[in-house]
Amino acid sequence: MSALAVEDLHVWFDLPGGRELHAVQGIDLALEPGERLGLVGESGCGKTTAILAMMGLLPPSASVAGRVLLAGGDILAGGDRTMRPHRWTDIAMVFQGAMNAFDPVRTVGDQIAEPLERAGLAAGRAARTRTAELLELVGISGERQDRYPHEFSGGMRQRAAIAMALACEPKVLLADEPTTALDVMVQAQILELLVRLTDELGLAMVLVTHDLPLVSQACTHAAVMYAGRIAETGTTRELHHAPLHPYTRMLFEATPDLRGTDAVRSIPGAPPRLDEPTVGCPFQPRCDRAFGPCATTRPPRRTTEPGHLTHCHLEGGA
Amino acid sequence: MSEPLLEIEDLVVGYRQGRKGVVQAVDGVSLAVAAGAMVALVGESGCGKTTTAQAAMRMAPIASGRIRYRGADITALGSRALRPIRRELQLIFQDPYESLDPRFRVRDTVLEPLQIHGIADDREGRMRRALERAGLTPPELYLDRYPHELSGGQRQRVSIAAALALEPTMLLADEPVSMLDVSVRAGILGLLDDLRRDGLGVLMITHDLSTAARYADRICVMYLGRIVEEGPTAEVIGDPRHPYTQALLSVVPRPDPDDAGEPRILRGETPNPADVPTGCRFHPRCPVAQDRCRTDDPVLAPAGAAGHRAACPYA
Repeated sequence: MSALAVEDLHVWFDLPGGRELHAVQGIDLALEPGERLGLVGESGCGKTTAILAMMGLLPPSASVAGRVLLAGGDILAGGDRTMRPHRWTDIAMVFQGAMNAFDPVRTVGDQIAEPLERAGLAAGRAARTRTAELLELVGISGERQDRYPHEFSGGMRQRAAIAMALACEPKVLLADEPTTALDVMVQAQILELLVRLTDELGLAMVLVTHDLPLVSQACTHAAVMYAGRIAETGTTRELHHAPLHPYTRMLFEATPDLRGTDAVRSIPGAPPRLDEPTVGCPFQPRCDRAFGPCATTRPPRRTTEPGHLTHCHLEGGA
Repeated sequence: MSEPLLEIEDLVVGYRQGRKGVVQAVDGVSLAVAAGAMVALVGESGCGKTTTAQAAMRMAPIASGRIRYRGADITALGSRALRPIRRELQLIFQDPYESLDPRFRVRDTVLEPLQIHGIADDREGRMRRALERAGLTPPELYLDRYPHELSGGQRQRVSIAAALALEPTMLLADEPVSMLDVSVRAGILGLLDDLRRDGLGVLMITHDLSTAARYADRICVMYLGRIVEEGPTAEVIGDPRHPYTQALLSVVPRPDPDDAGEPRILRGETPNPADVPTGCRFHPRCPVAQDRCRTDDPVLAPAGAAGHRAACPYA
């Protein structure tokens, strides 16, 4: 059974004037324990909104539909009532910029212990012991729990933020741009840590990023999002070697490779507005393989190998 | 290669920090950028790459060393004498969301530098040509737009157009694409590449080695205020000699999941310029450091092919 399965997830935001923005337009994802899925796409494609919906943390102006299944049980169905018992204990999140979100006047250990105490898992001395264990788990000496955030480097604060998300031993970790704003060497340390944690703890992880090479390096699977939908999902190898959606291929072509010799090409145009209904394929105006039906008909779901899916009219790959 | 436009020679930039004394952000950096060349200055945050570029623009306090522009020493020029030189050396900033005034239409943003530099003739023509050169064609489509009506890539093109309005000979681009979406980065980098082919000199500051590898013809790798390795791009990327460069290259994520080699992840933190180690400043993190590295401070010396230098006795 999947550790996390998302089925036909939609998110709408109410806009002034009675209009709506359809930020997430029916996405499906499934992760086995220990699996690492990169959720990639440009700014505004809905990737962060999607994982906030999985945590039940969207603002009241958002409406959510679909199913979020943890070990088979739908936690979205009953709203906050069904979400709350699972949030942090079964599904946890490292927020974008979490390393800069520590309260500067409280010790790091205090802040890691807070979810433990709230969930009734540990208090007092037991919470201190558990906090030290959590810090050691992410490669920080447990003795440093009495330090303040400013005494930690950026990389250490990010580790501490990961420790905090893991406090209640979740089975699913959602990490939103966990290495953005970190130097390349610190980024490598954090990725190594996330890979080790998913392997050792059997955690299923969704890594949200705009950086495709990061996903190729750290993840087993990837889902490419465009305009609120999944353009393509499969293993990172399938997406790189045999993309089914032109957007996936064009994203790779837009990414310089350290040792590559191919021309790097930008993708012309910009993503569509999501406060107006899209006719046909949302990527059609920017696509270099668009043809007849793309402008008028929503692309069908297409599969070649089990688990390798796309929404594209093209048959036989991109 | 033609005569260098910009030469930085043994540059030292220090900032006073409280009672601790002076922090040497840049400690003996030399580099040169010729017309038609793109030089990339790469390194982690705090390594001094931005400070080096700022000092080249005379926007940072120079403790010692020389800045030459077209052979003339500009290290000590007063602000009046610097004006015509600043016109030729233009800076492109990282964040086009912050560097453009939200109340200025595109027209005004590109005209402003012409007004500041007192250029009266053919302002309208210069402005239009700069927009066209920056790929905003036809200019009429953009002239009356405000920044919020433009995409990130278009905004960066507007700031490049503002720099080009003064018809500079040299661009200093500080992380020009790091705030942009991947899909539009190649367009901006391609534009800088075209300008370089047109004869401009470009000094690009970046933390992204893949970008440097693809677009620059020379790469200088900085660590704690020093250039530790430099050379033609193919040499530095294909045959890195300094252990720091080797480690940096090994952790660059590659688009092909099958291309990942064995990452040599350096432990510890990004180093602090307020606390420079003795001897080789890289030795505490160096995987091959020997005893002498604790005491001997290596200088850049030829390593590998012609024009390739590294500051490591084992390079």
